Amino acid sequence: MSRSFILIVLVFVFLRFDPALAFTLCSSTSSGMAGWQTKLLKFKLNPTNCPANINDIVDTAMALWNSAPTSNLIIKREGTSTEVPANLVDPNYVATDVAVIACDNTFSTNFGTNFENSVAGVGVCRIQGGAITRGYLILNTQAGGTANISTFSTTRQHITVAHEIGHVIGLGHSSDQSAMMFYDITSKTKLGLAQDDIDGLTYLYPRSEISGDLPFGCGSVSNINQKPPSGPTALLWLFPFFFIATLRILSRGKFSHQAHL
Amino acid sequence: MRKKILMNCIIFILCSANFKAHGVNSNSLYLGLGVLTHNLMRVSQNNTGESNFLGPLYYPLLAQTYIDFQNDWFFGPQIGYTALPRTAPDGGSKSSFLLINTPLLQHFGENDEWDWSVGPGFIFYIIQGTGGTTALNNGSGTSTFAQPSRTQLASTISLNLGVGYTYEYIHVGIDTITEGVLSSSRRSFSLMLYFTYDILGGTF
Repeated sequence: MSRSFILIVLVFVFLRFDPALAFTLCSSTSSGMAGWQTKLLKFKLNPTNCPANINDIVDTAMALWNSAPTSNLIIKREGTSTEVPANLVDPNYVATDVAVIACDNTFSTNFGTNFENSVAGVGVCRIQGGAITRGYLILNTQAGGTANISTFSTTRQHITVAHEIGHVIGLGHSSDQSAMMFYDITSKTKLGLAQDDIDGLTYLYPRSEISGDLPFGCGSVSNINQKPPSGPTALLWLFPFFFIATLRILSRGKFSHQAHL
Repeated sequence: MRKKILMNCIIFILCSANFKAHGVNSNSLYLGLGVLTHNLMRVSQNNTGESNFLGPLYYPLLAQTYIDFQNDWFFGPQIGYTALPRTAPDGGSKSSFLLINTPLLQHFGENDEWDWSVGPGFIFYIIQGTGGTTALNNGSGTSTFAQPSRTQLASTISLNLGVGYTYEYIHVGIDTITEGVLSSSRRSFSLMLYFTYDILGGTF
């Protein structure tokens, strides 16, 4: 009895503690900032100068952020915009559309010399009254630039846009290398969120199924491209029963033996 | 690390299998510890973005009681809280869980030593920011970023399915916790392995 009890305690003692949160906010000064004051954020896209598959890139990247289970934010692409990068980068310019995605074939002109070779995109959130009121995402499509996203693989395009969308919805860079919001995404080969990204999104847009949000995850978007864990993962439901079966098999002999005693 | 987790699970199973058994004590109070892995197969834990099977681990302290319901059925409200939050290396923020599970359990087995359970749970995910700023690389230099300063609470309603085993005053169990059951986009699975000890011996 006592030996078994000690063994159980050891099970827990030797389990690991994870490294943890490192997310930051898109503001450089406002620690108390809030995100967009809406649960449904619609981006307008200006497709001029963009890769032909820009719709797919944007939708896939948005679906990633829409999959966070503890967040209530839904982002989607809806409608087109006529906003141009040269205006959007002007801090005094007030765009007609509050959330814009655009592509820039003069990236070095708008952002700086050699940026076309080192920066694939820029995501910006603008804060007013302590909350995000405007934001834009500008993708580098400058011909000849080595960071021109048109030359990237599809997966890397998705990762790049997902990272920049993260800035527009309020996140800064993370010191967690596994995070989508880590500053250097060149080592990423798969589109995915780390817990740190989910925590950042949850911090800005906490889901509240106890009060306000629909229970059991209802109220999510329907045109999600990235599916959540499903298929084989659904077998997790059966795990307790596999567990029962294993224990019963293991214990059967023991109980029979005791019965003879 | 997976081997270590697997080894722990094997030890756990063997411990359980060697127990002499009977059912949980109703109208008593069980206290114990759990290990909760959140967002299974969903989150990346390496720099390539690949998802790992296990999510982040938390260690909730648990309290549970069992109330006779009908025949072999019990109502087994359980509350858990991660007293040790996950903390950022830079101290920027902390996260912890408050779990309130309200399952119905049914005994089974030769001596009613087993139980299976199903029912809803309420998960409160607490993120505490410490404020301040930090300088991080921005790809073309270094920028200053604000760190979160507020405390935020997210809540979800889960559907839990579990199985447990009781030996005298000890109850061990494993629960599958599903958040966002009805959402194809936000559905998330978690597992909680736990053991609890009946500190009152069924006397209240």
